[in-house]
Amino acid sequence: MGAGGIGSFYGGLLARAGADVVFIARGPHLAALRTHGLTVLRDDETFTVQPVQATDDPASVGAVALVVLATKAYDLEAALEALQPLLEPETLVLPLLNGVDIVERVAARVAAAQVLAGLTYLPVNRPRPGAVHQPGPQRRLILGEPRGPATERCRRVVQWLRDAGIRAETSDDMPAQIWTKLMLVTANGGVCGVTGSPIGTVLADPDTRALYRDCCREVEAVAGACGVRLAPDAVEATLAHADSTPPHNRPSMLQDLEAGRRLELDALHGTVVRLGRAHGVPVPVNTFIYAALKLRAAGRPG
Amino acid sequence: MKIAVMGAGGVGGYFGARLAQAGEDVTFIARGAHLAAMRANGLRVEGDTTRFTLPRVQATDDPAQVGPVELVLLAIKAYDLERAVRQMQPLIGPRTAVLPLLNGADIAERIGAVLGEGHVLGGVALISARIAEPGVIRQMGPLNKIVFGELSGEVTPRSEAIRDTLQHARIQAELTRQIRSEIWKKFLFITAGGGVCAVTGSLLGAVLADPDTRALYAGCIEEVAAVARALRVPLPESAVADTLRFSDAVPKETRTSMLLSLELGQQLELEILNGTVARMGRELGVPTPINQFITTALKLRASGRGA
Repeated sequence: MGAGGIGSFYGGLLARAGADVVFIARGPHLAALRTHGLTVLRDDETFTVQPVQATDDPASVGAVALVVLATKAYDLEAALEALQPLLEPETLVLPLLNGVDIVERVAARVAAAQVLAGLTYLPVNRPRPGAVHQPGPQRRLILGEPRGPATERCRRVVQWLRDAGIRAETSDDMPAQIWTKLMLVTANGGVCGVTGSPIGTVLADPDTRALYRDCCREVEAVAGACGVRLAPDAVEATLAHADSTPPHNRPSMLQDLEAGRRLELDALHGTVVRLGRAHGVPVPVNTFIYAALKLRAAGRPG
Repeated sequence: MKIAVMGAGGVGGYFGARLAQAGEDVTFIARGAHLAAMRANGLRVEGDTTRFTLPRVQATDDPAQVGPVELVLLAIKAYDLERAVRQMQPLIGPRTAVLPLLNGADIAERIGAVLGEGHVLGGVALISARIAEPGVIRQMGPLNKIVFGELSGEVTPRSEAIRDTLQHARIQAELTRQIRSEIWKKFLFITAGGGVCAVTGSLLGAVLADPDTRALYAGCIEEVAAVARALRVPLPESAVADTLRFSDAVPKETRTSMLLSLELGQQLELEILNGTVARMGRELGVPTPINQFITTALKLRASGRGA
């Protein structure tokens, strides 16, 4: 569901492994999937899955065992409305969206017991409709129970993903994982977005690197105020992760900004600002980034 | 009066042309295609209220050929102020006055540090003008004003002579005893307008209409006012509110020059605007987080593309 870059990549690996995968997509990407199949480009391999099952109408699919939700955060409610025909009592829903309230938002339309928590560090982009490009090594997909340790059903889903060649693992503390991911995407997207620069340039300059680090620290402080304890080295680990990405990498928020597309600002910096205010945690960097990008967050009309 | 106009862009070109038209002995210091055009065809001014052509103007790229003058109108962009001021040395005699018309809060002090304080007056140009094409200055709107005065606040014979010369050239010249306040009042506006419009990539009207960006804009002005007060610059109690009211009255589709420079991939006046506020704030112990953020956010693009 939401066969953008992330959904198309994972779906492509699963389909190649022989899983019964249906892509729920729209527009030119859907048309390309139907006529040319799905092409996955990686550094060491390129493969095409054809034919693929693709539709814009979940009702034509019927109930499934697993829904992988990979829309943008601002499209979540519309997706939840549309996916209702896919659900039966045994169906599991795995959201991979950015944001700290995704599980709650999904549980508003799906029975809470059917909702897993998930995220991915996979960088992807879409060079053209019907194709997805995944540069560099395959970064981790992490899933688990929304609260508490991973259960048997989590391990089952992970095994099934691994069998298709997906680098998946379980976590016993998904809230901490989700906040740690939020830290990375908030700093990456926000600082690269506001400086108009790729990640390597941002990290090489002492002032913009300090801005990046301060942005991470604010997310850590807000997580703590929300009762989520991150690893003691979470900020340094996030910086190390950023330092290990190719320096010319342009985070999706920067790409969206440059292309005049809608931004995930509300799910990222908007959330940090809102929760910071609610808990009395000062978040000046996120407040600044939010204000600086807000007028472009809706994308250019047309 | 023997006058050198250093930097014959919109501001220098317009005021220099008015002075030359009035019969003053004006030499333009310029470069490149604009210099070549002025030498070949003179200088044309296309204003909303006036149009004229000077078929022959004195123009050079070498201040040494001009020698000492009575008045230097300094109207360069302030990217590398100290270097430009050092290049001006041949223009400076014992009695030369330098009237800077650049954006910035501490321009006169920085020039004084190179040339000696006694040469420098404070000035503010209130005009919208640019080079339309080499040899042609386009001036927009009704304003063509220079507010200036001695930094000491005194009215001196030289400042009165400059006022008379400017007014004789039909320039709206105002000699003030409060030039530092006038400089900072303009600085409040251009720092917020330049920095916030550039960092949000948005027109002034859109910035002021949204509550979050308006808060950023107002916060930026408040920081500049706090720095001014720490420097004991007399500002009215209502300076921040006045600047907001003035901003609200400016046309909503105004693209401030820093936003325009950013969009065109040109060098930004970041260092003399928000960068100066952040630096002064650090030196004075006045918190200036918004100006620091803006400086950090724009610094990677401050030198322009392919410079």
